[in-house]
Amino acid sequence: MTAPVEVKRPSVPRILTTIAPPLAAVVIALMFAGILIAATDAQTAPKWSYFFANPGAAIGGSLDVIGRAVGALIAGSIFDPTVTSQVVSGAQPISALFIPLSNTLGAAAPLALAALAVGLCLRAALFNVGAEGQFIVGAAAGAYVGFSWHLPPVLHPIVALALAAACGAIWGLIPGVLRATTGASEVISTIMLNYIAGFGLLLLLGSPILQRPGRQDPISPIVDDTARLPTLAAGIQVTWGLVVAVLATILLWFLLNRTAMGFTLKVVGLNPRASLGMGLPVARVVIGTFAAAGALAAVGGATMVLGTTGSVNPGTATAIGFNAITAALLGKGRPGATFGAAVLVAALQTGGLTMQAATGTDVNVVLVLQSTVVLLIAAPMVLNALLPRALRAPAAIMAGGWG
Amino acid sequence: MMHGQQWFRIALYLAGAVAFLLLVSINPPSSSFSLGKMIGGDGAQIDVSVQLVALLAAMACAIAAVASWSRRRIRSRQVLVRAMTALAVVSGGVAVTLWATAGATVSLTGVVASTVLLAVPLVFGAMGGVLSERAGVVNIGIEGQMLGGAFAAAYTTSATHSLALGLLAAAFVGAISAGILAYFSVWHPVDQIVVGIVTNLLVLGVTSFLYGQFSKTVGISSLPETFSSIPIPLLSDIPVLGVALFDKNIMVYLCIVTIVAMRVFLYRHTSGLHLRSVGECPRAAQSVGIDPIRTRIVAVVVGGAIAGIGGGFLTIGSVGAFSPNMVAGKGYLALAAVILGRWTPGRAAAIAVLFGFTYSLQTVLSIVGTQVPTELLLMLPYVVTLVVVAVTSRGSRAPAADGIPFVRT
Repeated sequence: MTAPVEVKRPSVPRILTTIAPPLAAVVIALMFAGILIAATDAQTAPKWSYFFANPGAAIGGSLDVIGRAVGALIAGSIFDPTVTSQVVSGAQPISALFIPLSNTLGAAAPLALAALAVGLCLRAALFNVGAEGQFIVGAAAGAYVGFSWHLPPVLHPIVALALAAACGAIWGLIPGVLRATTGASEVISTIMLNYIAGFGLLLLLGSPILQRPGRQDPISPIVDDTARLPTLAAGIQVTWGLVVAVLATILLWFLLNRTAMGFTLKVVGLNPRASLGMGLPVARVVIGTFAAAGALAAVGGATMVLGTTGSVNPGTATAIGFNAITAALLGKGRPGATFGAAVLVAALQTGGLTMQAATGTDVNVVLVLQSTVVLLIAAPMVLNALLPRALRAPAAIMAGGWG
Repeated sequence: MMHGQQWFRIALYLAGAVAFLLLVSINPPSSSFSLGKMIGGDGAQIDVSVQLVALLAAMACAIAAVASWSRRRIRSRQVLVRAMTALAVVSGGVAVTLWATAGATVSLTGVVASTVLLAVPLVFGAMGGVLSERAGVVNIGIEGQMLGGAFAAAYTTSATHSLALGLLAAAFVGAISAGILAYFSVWHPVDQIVVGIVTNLLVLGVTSFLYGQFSKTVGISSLPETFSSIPIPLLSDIPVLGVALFDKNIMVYLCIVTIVAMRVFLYRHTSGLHLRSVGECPRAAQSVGIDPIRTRIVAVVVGGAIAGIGGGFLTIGSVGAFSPNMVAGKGYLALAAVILGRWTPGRAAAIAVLFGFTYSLQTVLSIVGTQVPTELLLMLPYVVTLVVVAVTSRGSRAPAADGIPFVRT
């Protein structure tokens, strides 16, 4: 076995090497999604059948439909150019410019917390597929405290978030304890716990505990006004949930990079066997990591209920699980990067809905886009073949085997 | 020394015994099983006392608990524990079914038949999983392979009106989905679990997107035809089992053949031995001239095709319609069956049938009416999996190189 020769890389700013691979991944994913959109669009697809007679119609039509879809995606998530002219002419207030971005950030806060839950586990070489279940537990607990306890304003959301965190931690303990004591794969147990949480929520929503009085469908009462997380400014979607998410990100960064506890966690993640040999408390790290992850995702669920939706229904956690995994894998478990990735995923989600409404392109194309991006980031060889050597991504992420 | 795992197991058996004794003490009304074809119950009836069956289950649990109270691994005791566990599972299942139906009549044939129908996709998925995991590749992607197969079968059948082509398409798309997994995690050493989960998302995205775009123009939400059943002469006349196993469509027979074929291939064929050796120690396999990379890629892709057929069964074999995310975790249950079945085809299939039974229980109970909330019943397969994973994990051993990428030197 020959050792790889160290090649001295030309110095490129670190920010560029961090940004370039995801950016390239997004571009490739957009191309893939674009092909899918053009190939399935009811107006455009037939034009390809007479491609050789009139190639312009096929290519132009395809580019047009892709362009409209991507345009709507951006307009719905970041910035809508058509609003600018209305603002300039005075038809709309200046704040209207920020509505798409505020929608994105509003959706990003709960997602970022769930993504941090997955990311933290990744650092300990645990694959937490259970963010969705943990999120549901937090949402249910937060909503319950929100409508059934009557507390003064500032205290109310804090108590609700704290109780959600506690419930989430207990829920998160299950896969952690199973993994540490019986060796049961956390991948399987968290997947099962997601389904159990989902049906458990349905069960509670059909019982007097969570069902809104006078309603037959599964929906909870609306939380008290005292429990609502206020928005950061009038007229936008961003609530104090975003502050919670940012604080959690900073706290996690500090824990992982500046404390002995975080160091232990990372060592266990890099080599559980060596950690056992060194006498590190591997079982305790596994259990603790999962409890912390459960608490994080549960707080995410609670911020969503207390901030945005105001009540719980079976659709509360839709796609949160996938999106959290996507963001955590994109951010490679690093808190700051995971937060950034969560904002990106939230932008795709909010933009996707606008796109479906505006152009009729099915919103699930966003899922295609997302999973392609993650695949390209998790498996960097495709990108590495395309990018110049200086900009290549570092090694891939490993989540460990069956333990 | 008795280890924690053993205490856990004993505690679980005792908990089971207590639970079944509780069931005895509430004195539930006795129910009856019928042998007719209808789930509601017709034909000859057998009255069963729930109390008696629950008592039997409680006793089996208690004996199993006492028998596992051993420091050494004694063969006869292990056999006893296993037999008692099996007895407890069967009689407990019957007792819970009857208790939940609260005095109604349940068709035994109906239960067995729907168990088979619901187990078939899980068995296909589990067989695909056994194949790839025995070669050393963790296959979380079964879910996506099944979903891809389900969509491909529905789309092809509604477009060509050919069920055979639909079946082929299911296998093909399952193989393609597995090919993505194989390319990244075998050809390149990327983490198998990460790639598996991501391919699941990719397939979910692509199929849901295509469904959204096509559902108005192509009739995949209600197929013109599904495989019709072909009764096997003589065998189909056996009471209960005949209707459930031998009066089914060709995909059910294919499923039974797959289990047998997988067993024969893995344990009676040289290629099977090669495949297993790659799963245990690829380096050693390479040294005797087996190509671990090629073996793994073939295993994963063929496994994907089998899982894809399992997905196809959902659309062209039973339901007759495609809906987004219709596999709904069955791929993960199939994977759990692989692990719980200790990576052997026969045991994995048996576990898959157990999962099928829990699904069937939920269907049957929702038809005859029950005092148990439906959400609890829907939760059942997942709870069973979680508990069984927890109980059996330590005793089982995965193929030694399962999940570890092989890097050529």
